[in-house]
Amino acid sequence: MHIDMDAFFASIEQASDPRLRGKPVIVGGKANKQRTVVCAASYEAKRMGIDSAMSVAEAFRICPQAEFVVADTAKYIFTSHAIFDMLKPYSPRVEQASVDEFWLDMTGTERFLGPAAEVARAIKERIRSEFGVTASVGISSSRLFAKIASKLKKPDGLVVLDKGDIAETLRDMPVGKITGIGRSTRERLNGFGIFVYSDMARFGMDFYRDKFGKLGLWLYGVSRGEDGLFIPSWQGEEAPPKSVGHSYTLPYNAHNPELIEAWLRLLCEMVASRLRSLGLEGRCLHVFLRQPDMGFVAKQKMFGVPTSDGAEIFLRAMAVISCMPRGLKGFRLRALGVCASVLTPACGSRLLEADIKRRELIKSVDEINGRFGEWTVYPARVSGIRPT
Amino acid sequence: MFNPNARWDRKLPRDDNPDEKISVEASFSNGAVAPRRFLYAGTVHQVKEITFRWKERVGAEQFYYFNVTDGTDVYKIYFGDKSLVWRISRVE
Repeated sequence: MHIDMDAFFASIEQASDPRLRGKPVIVGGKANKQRTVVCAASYEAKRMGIDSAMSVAEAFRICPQAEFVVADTAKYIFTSHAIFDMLKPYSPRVEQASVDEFWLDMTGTERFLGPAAEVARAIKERIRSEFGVTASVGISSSRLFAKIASKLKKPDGLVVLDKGDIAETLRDMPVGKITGIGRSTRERLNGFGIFVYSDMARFGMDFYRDKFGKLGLWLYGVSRGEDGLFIPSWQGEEAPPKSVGHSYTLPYNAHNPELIEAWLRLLCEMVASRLRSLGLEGRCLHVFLRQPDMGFVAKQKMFGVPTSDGAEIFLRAMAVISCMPRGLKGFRLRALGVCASVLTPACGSRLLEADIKRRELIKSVDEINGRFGEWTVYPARVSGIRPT
Repeated sequence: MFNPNARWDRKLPRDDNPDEKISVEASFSNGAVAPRRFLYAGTVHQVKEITFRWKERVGAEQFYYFNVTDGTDVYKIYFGDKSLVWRISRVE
């Protein structure tokens, strides 16, 4: 079962403020609203052509009467967690895929809870009554088709997609709408005359394997209403991470190297902070930078000693960037990301006195931030960044 | 898996202007706090409805947030369990 909250942030704002109900609502960042982007739009706004990631200025051109609300992340995350907790009694395996999406494995639950569709109705009603928002639910034999089903009747939908009905129900669905098929795969499929789901069934396994390799085996399965290779299997809440990363899309194009470095330092500290909270250190560092309309560059580098020190990760990130063709020179940055991998348990032993002092310093900073709030002490380099 | 720690808003330098302190009459019952009326800008606002409530931990302090309406406007007020202070952070 896949639960997809409907226009989650905007719906929470409409639940919070009765005056916003039934109106086109735009949720955006804290900066000057002409410079920020749409984080979420209510269905009333979506019907007028406004959608996430559009600039707020453009959204107001389309709909001058739209109501603008500054995003309140704490409110959304609290509500998301509360919904996640509410779902736990309905399945032994509940997973939070994102702030507004949840998976429930309903295998074997029917004898205790009744048919999955009945459970879905009960869940939808509880979400509505306890949080004042709606959710769309998809039920199918696999995660992929449950996710597709949840999007078929938004908002407030409930779709049960039995395996035998997949071919007929999805017959005219463009292949680009299928989760896991991105732009480049869609373009390649289109090149072979595969435009909608029903076209996929015209080709056999050999075709998919020859043309798409490993991905082809998954595509073949999808064409037969099966899934299992692409979307990861159920993860326990305690599953150790294989990597720790953060990325961010700026609401503007940054070209000042100092500003770009400030954002990078911020990301590195976030990665470091999470590594430390997990008791891990990373040896490999992956950095990606995206330019507007020009794709992205990405590099990774393996280092000899694992670390969870934000300053060290930043230095390593700069070293990775120096391996990129132009470094940061002349770069117009739209998005960036930092990811640490090859993770190992944090190693307490350090031989050099400077390392020991450094570790004590980081421990003290973590203690201060743990007591007085994150970012009570933060790297000076990021102080030029203002909320956007 | 979704990572709730990816909180940009908590990692950015904070606003230099703290939210305004307000006086609130509230009930504390069964472990839950609920504002009833508050004094803001020289006017007592009767809480007609708590439209949304949520919590957030910042360091060692737990903050209890409320969107409340006096029937005319919607306010965001919150209470810290260490400082025992009520503040108002947004007036819609």
